[in-house]
This record gives sequence, C-alpha cells and structure tokens, in this order.
Amino acid sequence: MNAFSEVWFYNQNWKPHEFQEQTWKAIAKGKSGLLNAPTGYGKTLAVWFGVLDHYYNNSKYQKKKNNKLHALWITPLRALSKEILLATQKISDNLDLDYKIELRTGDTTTSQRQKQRKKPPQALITTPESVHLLMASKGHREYFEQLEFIVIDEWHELMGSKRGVLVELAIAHIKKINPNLKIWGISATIGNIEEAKDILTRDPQSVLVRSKIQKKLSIQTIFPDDLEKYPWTGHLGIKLIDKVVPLIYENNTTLIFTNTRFQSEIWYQKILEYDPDLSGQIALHHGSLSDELRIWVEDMLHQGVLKAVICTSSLDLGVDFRSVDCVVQIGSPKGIARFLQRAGRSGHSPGALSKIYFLPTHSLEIVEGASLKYAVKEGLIEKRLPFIRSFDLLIQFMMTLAVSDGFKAQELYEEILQTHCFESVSTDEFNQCLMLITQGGTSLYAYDEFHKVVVEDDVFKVTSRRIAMQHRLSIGAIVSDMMMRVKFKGGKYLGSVEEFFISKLNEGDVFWFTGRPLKIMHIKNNEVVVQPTNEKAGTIPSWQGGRFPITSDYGKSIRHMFLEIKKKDRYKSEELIYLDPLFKLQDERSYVPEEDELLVEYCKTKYGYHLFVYPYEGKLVHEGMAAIIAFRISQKQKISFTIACNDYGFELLSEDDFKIDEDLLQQLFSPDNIVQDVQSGVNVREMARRLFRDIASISGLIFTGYPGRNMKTKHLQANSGLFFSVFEENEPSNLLYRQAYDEVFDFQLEIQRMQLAFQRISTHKIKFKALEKLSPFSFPIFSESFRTRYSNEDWQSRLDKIKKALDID
Amino acid sequence: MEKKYKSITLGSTEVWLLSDCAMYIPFDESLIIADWHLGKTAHFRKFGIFVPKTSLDKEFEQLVTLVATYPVQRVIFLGDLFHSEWNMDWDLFLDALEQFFDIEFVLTLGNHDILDFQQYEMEHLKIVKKFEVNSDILLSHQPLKRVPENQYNIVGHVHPGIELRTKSKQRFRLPCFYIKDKVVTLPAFGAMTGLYILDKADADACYAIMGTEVFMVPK
Repeated sequence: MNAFSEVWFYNQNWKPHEFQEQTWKAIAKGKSGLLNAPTGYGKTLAVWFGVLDHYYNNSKYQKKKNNKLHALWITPLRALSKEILLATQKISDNLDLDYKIELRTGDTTTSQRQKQRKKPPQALITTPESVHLLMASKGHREYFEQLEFIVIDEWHELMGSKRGVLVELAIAHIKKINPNLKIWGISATIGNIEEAKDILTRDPQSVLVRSKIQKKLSIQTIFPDDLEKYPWTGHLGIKLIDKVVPLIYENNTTLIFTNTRFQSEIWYQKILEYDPDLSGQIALHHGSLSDELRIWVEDMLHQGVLKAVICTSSLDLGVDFRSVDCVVQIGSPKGIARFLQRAGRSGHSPGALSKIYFLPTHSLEIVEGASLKYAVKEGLIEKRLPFIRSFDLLIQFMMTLAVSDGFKAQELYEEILQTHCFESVSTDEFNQCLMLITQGGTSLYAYDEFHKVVVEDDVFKVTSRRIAMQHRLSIGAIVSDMMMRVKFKGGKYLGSVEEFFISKLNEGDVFWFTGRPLKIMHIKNNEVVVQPTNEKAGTIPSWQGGRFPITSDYGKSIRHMFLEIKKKDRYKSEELIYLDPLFKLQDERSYVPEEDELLVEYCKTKYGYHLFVYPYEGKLVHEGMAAIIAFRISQKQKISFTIACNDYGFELLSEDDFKIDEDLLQQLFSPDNIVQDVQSGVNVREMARRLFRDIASISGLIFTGYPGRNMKTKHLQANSGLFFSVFEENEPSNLLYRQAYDEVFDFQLEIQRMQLAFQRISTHKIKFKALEKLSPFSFPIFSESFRTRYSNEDWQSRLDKIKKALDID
Repeated sequence: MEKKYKSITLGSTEVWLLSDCAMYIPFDESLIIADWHLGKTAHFRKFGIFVPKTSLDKEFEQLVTLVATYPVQRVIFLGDLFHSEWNMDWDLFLDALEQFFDIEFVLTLGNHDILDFQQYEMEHLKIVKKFEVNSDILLSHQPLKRVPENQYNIVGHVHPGIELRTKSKQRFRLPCFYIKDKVVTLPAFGAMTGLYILDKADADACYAIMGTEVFMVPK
C-alpha cells in the first residue's frame, strides 16, 4: 500500500496502527481529511508517509529535479516544529531519501529565508504567521504553484482562535493557486470534530480518520488532611505542598501544571524552600521566560535529568518527553480537554498509563475532582468555537496581499468566500474593508492625506516601503502586552515582564523571576537590567491574561456534582463525602439547593450589601447574567453595583441596601428580552472596548513598533480605547467597531448559552436566604479580586459616591 | 447653574481650575490650555491608520464655548497645540483664530510643536518659550529648571490623571490638576489624549475633574 512505510515500519520492527493505514490509503486516493488519534501513537507518521508516497509516485516531481515546494506543515508552536523536523528528517535519513525538510519560523535567519526562497526544500515546517509572511512576499504565487499538501498540526488548538482564521485564509489562497492542494489536519478529540474537519478542508469528499485507541488514564484528587484547616478561597494551593513533594520523589519526572505564570513562580520557590535537596533537580517553564531558558528546560526533560518541572500552558502542547510519568494539576483546569491534554503529557509511550493528580486550591474546588472524573467517564468534551467574520484579519490579509504582488478585488472576494470564517461576508462589507485601506474610511474626507493602499489598473497594492515594512512586522493574530525585557548586566536575556508591573518598582527593588530573587540595577527604555541577589523579600510579577474561564461542558459537569450533594453517601463520589462538613455548614448558614432550585443569598458586610447567585454556568455567562440582573434591579430602584464572578456564581455588590425577595427574583430571572437587557448594561460597551484592543492591533490601527526601537513610533500611538471612542462618535457603522460587539456577544457573553441558562432557571424554584455571615459557597466569589464595574448612574451620582467614599464635602 | 470650576490661590494670584480641563486667571483674564493635540487623527491618517477624522470644527467648539463663558483677553496654549507637522488643519486653525480679533493668542512651545513657526506669518499667535503672569506665575510646556522662589510654574505635557477607588471596589480614572513642589500640571485639553496616572499621595494637592465638577482629592 505505502511502500516507504512498509520498509520503515519493518526496519523499526513496528506494526502500523489501523488509523495509520487508513490515512495512507486516503492520501493515496488524493483525499483531504482530518486525523484524530491520541498522542504518542504516531499521528505524524500517518500523514507524513502519505506525503512522501505522493511525492515519489508523481512523475511531475521526479522528472524535474529541485523544482518547487511540495508540502507545508503548520504547527501552532515553534517548539513543536523542531520536534516534527527531527521526526521527519529521521525518516528521510533512514530511508536515504532526497526529500529535504526545513524549518521556517520566527527564528529562521534572513539568509536562510532567502535561500529557502531561491531554492526551496521539498517541505517547510512552519507556523500560521510565517505562512502569511511568505504570502506577503513578491512572487509568492509562483512559490506555491506546486504545493500539494498543507498539513495542520494540533488543529483543535488553532481552530478556536484567530490564528485558525489565518490558517483558513492561507488554505483558501493557496488552493486558488493550485487547485490540486490537499489539506490534512491532525486534531485531538473535541466535541465538534466533524465541524473541525469541514472548516479545515471545505470539501464534502474529505475523510475523518478516527483511531479507536483509548489511552489509559488515572485521575486522583489530592485531599487536605484536615478540611477545617483548608482555606475557603485562594488560587495557590501551597498548603498542600507536603502532598506534592513526595509525588516528585515517587515518580521519574513530574510535570506540575499551574494556571498562571505567577503561580508557577511561587510554586517553584516554595518547593525549593520546603525541600532544598530538590535544588538543581527541578525547573521552571512558562511563556515569559526567554527561549533559551525554555529550550534548556526542554532539553533537560528529554534527557530525563529533571525530577520535576513547574509549568503553565507553555507545556500543554506537542513535544513528547518520555521520562514524564506523572502530572499534577494545581487548581481548576477550567476545561475537560485541557485537563486531558495535560494528563496525556505523562505516560507517552503506547500502552502506558497517563497519571494525573488534581490539587484543589480551596475547599469548594475539591468538587472539581469529582466533576473531572464524571466528565471523563461520560465522555464529555468541549467544542471549539471557530471565529467568524473577523474583519480585522480580513483587512490584515488584504494588506498582506497588497504588499506582495497586489490583488484584484473580485478575485479576492471569491477567494475569501471559500473560507468558513468569511463565507457570509457581503459584497458591501467587503467593499467597506477595501475603502478602509484605500481611503481610510467609508466617508469621503476633504483635504485628506490618507496613504495606505493604492489602486493601479484594478490591482490593489502598497507602494510605500514604510507601510509595507510596518505591515510585515504586524502580521499575526496574537496581541501581546507592552513587555519589558529582563536581562543581566552582561546582556544575558532572561525573559519578559509586563511594563505595568515594573512601573510600580524602583531601582534597587527586588522581585522574583525565573525562580530567583533579582535586584533591579536600572530601567531604561524597555529593558530592566538586574543582578542576582540574596535578599529574600520581593514581589512576584503577575502577568495579565492567563486567567481563562471554564468551558460550558466543564461547567455542566461541575453543576452536576453540586446537584449530587444531597444524595446518599453510597451514591456519592469520595470528593463529595469528604466535603460533607462544609456542606453541613453551608446548610446551617444558608441552604444547599436541590437539583431544581436556584440559591440566592443576601448579606451585609463592611463593603456593602451583597447578592450572591449560583447558576454554575461558568464565569463568562455569569458576567452577562450579572449585568442583566443588575440592570433589571436598577430599573426598579436607583442603585449601582459592582460585579464579581467566578465559575460557580456571581455577586452584585452595592453600597446601599436594596429590596429583594423571592417574587422579585423570579421576575429578575425572566428569560424574556435578554438581548435587549444585556445591551442596556454598560458592560457591553466596556467589554467591546476591551476587545477592540486586539481588533485594533490585528487590523493595523495600532502599530507596536519596530523591534528594538519602539520610541520612534510613539507619535502614532494612541490607546485603543481612544480609537474606540472616535469610531463610536464618528463612524459607528465601521465594521471593526461592530466586530468588537459581535465578539462580545459570541465569545464573551456567549449569548446563546446565556439564553439557555435563563430558560433553565425559569423552570427552577428560587431559594432566597438572608445571611448573618458569609456562607462557604459565597466566600470564594466574595474574595474574587477581579471585578468589573457596572453602573447605571449618571456621572453626578457617581461623583457623589466618590465624594462620600473619600469623605469630602 | 452649577459651579464649573474650583478657585484656588497660587502665591497671591487667584486661579480657577475649570472642569473643561483648562485654567482661568481672573486677574488678567487669561485662559490657559495645555496639550490640545489638534489634528491627531489627521496625523494618524497620513500614516495609513484608518481612524475616522475628527472634524476641526468640533474640536474648535470647545474653545469657542470657553471664550463665550468667561471674559477672555488672552489665551495661552501650553504647548503640544498640534500633534503633527504642518497640514491643512493648521491653516484652518489659524484662520479660525482670526475670528477672535480682540483676543491675544500665545503658544509656549512644546515637544510636539515641531513646526518651524518662523516660516509662517502668524499675526494671531505669538510664540514664546515661557510666559509670565502677575509676577508670581510662570507658564511653560514642561517644568522649567530654574524658577524663582516666589513663582509657581504652570505646565502641561504629561496629561495627568488620577485613579480613585470607592468602598464597593469601583475604580475611576479621572483627569486632574496636579500640584507638587510649586509646579501645577494641567490636564490635557484634547479629546484624543490618554491619561497618565499619577500617585495622589505624592502630590501637594490634587484636583480631579468629573463631569462638570472639580473637586479636591484628599490624600
């Protein structure tokens, strides 16, 4: 069937899996498709031998030597690209093939890039951004003329992000250049795998290959010795350190996953304090560390030298570390797929057991141990929602083509209609995007000096070198905060921290980073020069982002567990039995709701009057729901609230007492007019404003500057909030401005999910409890430090409030 | 009509901190405006950033309103009047100034005012480095190095703002007048300008603006 794989598998003394043979067969038939199989079972080989087979059985490539690029392999991570390169290179070497494979990522040097242009290898392993950069160069159409394969690795990861849209656009564009192009995706299991295939291949004839192999998985919850002493709130879980350190010794190599970089720094520091013997045997790995440090840690993992690595999602994907046989998840994993992916980092060889421990960071979170087991048993897994109508990326793509060979409007329009993201874009909307880049807007301005894209003989192109260069530097869909580079005096680069964090520190101050205390020597431009110190005190940078909400399916499984509380012990999971005293206390102070009840609590503290509601729908839905309820209350009484949410419920906090009872609550949770009411909430605008930052950056409104010389462009910078206001006032029909609102409804508020939640609640009985003291359920929300502002008052009442708070006349 | 300003005394001179992000000195009927950054959107557009153009008329209205509200003999712009090098907006602006033939206009040069002023005939806009009012007030774009003991230096440049928190954990970011070591920093007048948040604890005094009211921020 596949001659190369037969020889190679025979030499390795391996037998191909069924899914591998199915994939080879499908590729040999010229099909596109999506492959879904667990990690560690040879997914790469399944696609790669199909690609090789095509190359050597196609006279076009065999006749003329050294012609054009044959395959593009796209991965979401640079680290992963290296892994793929090694794996595929090995096959070429083993079989003595002249099929050349090279890397093309952000790290590739200019001279290598030029070589790759003039004399392309057979395959390039690359990232979505690098493919767009290739499309931004002159002559790219000839370059891709004979490209037969695009392989997208970890498609599930890309699909739910704007980077997935970059992939969709690249495929549509290259398919136009070469209609023979075949698309192959590789994906972990997700809830909408069929849709994932359709979005990627856009071909009803494409196939979905699913492996039947199930990985063995063990999930264990780490219980505190004494429930009473375990805190009711918190994100760290450090108190359970004495349970984690023995795991490090018991196992070969343990990966300890935290949800934020801040947590990972603390855990690293605390483990070393707890057990200094581990010094030199454990390491830290997160997204803000320099590549050099991270690569070093990864190498050490490969060699099996390290006992443990404390990491964040930076180690979620890709690369096999064979020595890893244990994973610890600190705090809620927030998603079933993410949890499974992390679990899968252990026991990588076929047939091995994946072992994961769940460490709750506060007592109520122990429930999630049971939820995870339930979700895995029931096969619950999230869907990935693809982005649609991302006009910011459409504008970016127009610019990409305009800086290369230019484009014709009608041709490009037909091309983008082929993508899932832009299939519903109307001619009118497309023309609005064209107008933005050619005349800077939809209205005509007198005396204008707008320069970006010009039209010559129906071809849209960029003639200014400066604009072309700026655009090439801004390609991509990841928007990062303004970061400061941390380095030693000698110049060694350690990593980056947010400017906001450094702005609070002075020279001579000590902070923890890369797992050790560093003293600030001086701060200049965007560099912080530091030296190691023995001083113990110091703050740890907390990076923004990284706090993701739980997914809907995970929320469902958590809700399910709360509904089991009142069952008899023998039907309950060990986690719920363990938590029994906490639930008793909840019952004493408040109430434990039944399956068809919604608990609402009201309590006065020194901060004001709190209303707690527990729909267990996840943070995002709660945010919207809270805004709606706040709005509806304010319709009846003049009042303003601040909102706090977590994944279990939400809180409305007011400085003034307000009237509330079961009847009123029943009205407040009416499923009618949700869309209107949420729009009346100030939050929607605030949310749109926040999201507009990414949109402004992707579409080229904000230019973050040339590498190393940020200052030069300062006169062209304004914060996205100002841009947002200008659009709001002068051009509210602008597509980018409207996109911000669309994204709020689809991704922030998840309006459809929220409507379902309101409908569910409307069938429930509302249990209203006025509390003397905060209940165990309410405490984690109460102490949630991230709050959003909601106010229905005019500025005058807000001013009065400030004055009152500040104690001024 | 509610009070739209707060009166304070600098040395022996009374000044009004206006809720319109400007200062008024009744003594010689001077209006002081810092960091207008006119034509910022036009400047952005020139560099290919497709922000909609804000109309100059609309921006100019702010000034018209102030001049109509207070008896004004002189307007002093504390620098960064324009955001960019010369463009059509400049001409329009200078033309517009001529409507106020009985008002003297002065500009203390700022870092964004990169225009070579000598090139243009500007009868209605006097350009200076610094400007003195009533002997105890000195106006400039950025704080001056040597200010006589008895003088207050009134400046712009940083676009000062202050962050306030209320009991129910709400946060407000408001433009402010910031006074420290006899330097009075005015908020930016322009709409397309951000806020640079300063620490109220460091100030000798700080007055925040919310809506049409100016109030002192306690430490």
